[in-house]
Amino acid sequence: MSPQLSLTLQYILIALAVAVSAWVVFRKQAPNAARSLRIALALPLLREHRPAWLRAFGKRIAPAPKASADGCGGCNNCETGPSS
Amino acid sequence: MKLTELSRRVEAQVEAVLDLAPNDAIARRLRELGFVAGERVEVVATGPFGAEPLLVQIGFTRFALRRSEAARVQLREAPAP
Amino acid sequence: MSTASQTLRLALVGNPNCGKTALFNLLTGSRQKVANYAGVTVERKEGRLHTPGGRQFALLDLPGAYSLQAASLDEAVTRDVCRGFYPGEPAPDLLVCVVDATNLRLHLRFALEVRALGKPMVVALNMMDAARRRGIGIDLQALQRELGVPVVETVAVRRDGGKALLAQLDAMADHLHPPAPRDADDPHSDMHVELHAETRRLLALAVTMPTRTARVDDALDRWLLHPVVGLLTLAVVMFLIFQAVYAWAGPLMDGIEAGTGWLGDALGARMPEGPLKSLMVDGIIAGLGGVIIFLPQILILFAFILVLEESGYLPRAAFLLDRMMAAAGLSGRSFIPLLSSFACAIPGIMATRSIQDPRDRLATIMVAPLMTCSARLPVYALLIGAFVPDEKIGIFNQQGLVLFGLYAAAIVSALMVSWVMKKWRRDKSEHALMLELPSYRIPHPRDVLIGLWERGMIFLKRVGGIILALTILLWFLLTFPGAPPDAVGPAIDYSFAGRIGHAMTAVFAPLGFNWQICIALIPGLAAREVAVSSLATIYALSAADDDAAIQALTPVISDGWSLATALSLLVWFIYAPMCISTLATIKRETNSWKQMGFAAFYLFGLAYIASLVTYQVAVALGAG
Repeated sequence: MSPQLSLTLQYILIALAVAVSAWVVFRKQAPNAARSLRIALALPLLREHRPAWLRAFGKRIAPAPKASADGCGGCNNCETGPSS
Repeated sequence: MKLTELSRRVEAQVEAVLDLAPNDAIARRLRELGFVAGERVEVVATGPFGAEPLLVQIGFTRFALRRSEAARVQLREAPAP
Repeated sequence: MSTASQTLRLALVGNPNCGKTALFNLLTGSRQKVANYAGVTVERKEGRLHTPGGRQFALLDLPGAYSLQAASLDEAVTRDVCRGFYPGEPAPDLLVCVVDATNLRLHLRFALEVRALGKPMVVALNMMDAARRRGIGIDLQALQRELGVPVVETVAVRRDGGKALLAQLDAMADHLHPPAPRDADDPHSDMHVELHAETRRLLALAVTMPTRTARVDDALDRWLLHPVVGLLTLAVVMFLIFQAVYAWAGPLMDGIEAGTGWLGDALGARMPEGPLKSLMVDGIIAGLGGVIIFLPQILILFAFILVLEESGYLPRAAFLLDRMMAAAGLSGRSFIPLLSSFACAIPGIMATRSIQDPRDRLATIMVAPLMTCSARLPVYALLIGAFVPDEKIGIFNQQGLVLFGLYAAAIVSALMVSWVMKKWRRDKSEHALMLELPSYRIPHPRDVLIGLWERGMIFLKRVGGIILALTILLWFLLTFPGAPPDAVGPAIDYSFAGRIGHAMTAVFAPLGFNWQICIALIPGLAAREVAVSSLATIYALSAADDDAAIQALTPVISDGWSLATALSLLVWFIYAPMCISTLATIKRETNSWKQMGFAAFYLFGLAYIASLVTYQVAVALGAG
């Protein structure tokens, strides 16, 4: 007795999953491009004359400032190998 | 006598470390690692191929050295302990 | 001047092999952050330290250095940070100089050198437990008096081993001062001679050493470095590891497979019909399950690598192999970075920073991607499981034998590639070795377990992150657009990915790759294991068409592919740099698009040719 779920809803969920996945891959493989994209999207939202909620939204989109010159790109974890 | 000529498990004393070229970085590093006059040194083992590298015990530390590196180390007889 | 409200900055400094990193881990726990120093490819490890007195410090773990006269990039960074000259890096408020209490003859000299900088300093006598065990007597008070800086005991491997250091930090945090002044140095004397003379004086005063080295080290090295016994032991150890990977992982893998199958069925029964169910069952569960099943093998392999590393055996292996590696154009110092590459080439390539000679370093970087990284393991395990019978030849398990063979082939290829590069370079100059062989240690089970846990977590995070994302994307590309009404073949042929895969067979058919493999190679570029989950998804979707139950991937492949195809794919994975992250790391470490391009070109080229030859020969011999 499998339940029914409207096809449209299923397609929406799938589209969401695909979009999130695409973003995850983009962020992992091209982190600098991803940062630039986020900054570019957030900037217009953060202008002075925009309403408060839009600016709050812009702040959320913008990436966190980089702590130090972090040259890493692409791997999951900086595990150190055997110490030499 | 050079370190490369020292028989295994025979103790000797370091006399000096010679520079192979002006500003020899390898010689300087050897001195920093403890290859200084008066220090006791011994060849503990040699590599399986071509008797290289040399496992050298200097003071309380063991280092693996290439023959070319060890050749810089001049030795003298060790006085009885 | 620092006030109590400001966070003080500490720096851990010391020779290699002093146990600095273990101490850093003990003091900071998981509160660590790893990045790079500005402008160079040297790793920067910083953590937060909390004392019982309620203070907080920032702790920096500097690269190990034998001397402040730097001989490598690593050591130059340590020197500059200590002196406060590193651009963008604030000078540390307090230097914690870690020395190995069992070898003060070597380490104390460095402590004296650091003291000469005139910065506030504490000396941490590490490995005091080992020192006591060997009967080494150290008069802390005398040392403290002569050095003019506080001296504390630490035992990095014990949970409360940092107690004395933390108490010392609490006591002195509010009034840091430089070391007590010494007599003026004679400007004409050689600094090295002076430092050594001073070291000997301090040793005579404060330290009693019973024998020159631990007898255990001596006895072990007598055999483990013996030309015949040593090499034989090395070969046997390597071999046993691969046998164990198969023998012990079996039951665990069966358990995981059963679990995945059950989950797929249970979910399949409860979910509403439609594409969402397909995404969950054929995409996510089939795809992720196909990769997670190899976790036991990865962990077992790692457990061995960790134990070997902690025990101090690895430099001995480097000693035995140095000549052979040097003949191939590598250095004995390449051994440890290359061994790290068996986990993942990325930290392995980063570990080449400890290789002073730039040509040796470049050769090692170029060859590191050939080391069989852990991401290849699921691919190898899948193909071996499908095509090599789980039987014994004599006492050896065939599957374990083949796995060992693959690793051996990779290593031999690496040596040959390196040899060719050496001949091409035509360089006759000197390559330094100077490798320290530290004392043997019994690996602490806690450290090994922590290491395994971290590795397992890294793997699972990868699965839940990039692998999941790629699986979903691939499922999407394999499912849409659906088959047109007048379709004759399976729906999957008409999808985006299906069309691309069929198009790729033009290039890859001579290698024996079918269109399913071709498709799987594309997401496999981001992460090798994804090739396995991709295949699982592809076949699950094909099976779903026929209303068949979701099968495990292995039997589907062993029935559907020829042995020649399997061999060819194995060979492809030995060589192909199916990991964009590795190529990105090469670019970063060499600072050169050209070197990265060269690596990609030669590796893919080798892969194509080797696979081509393998497939054609195998077919000619009747395995097609």
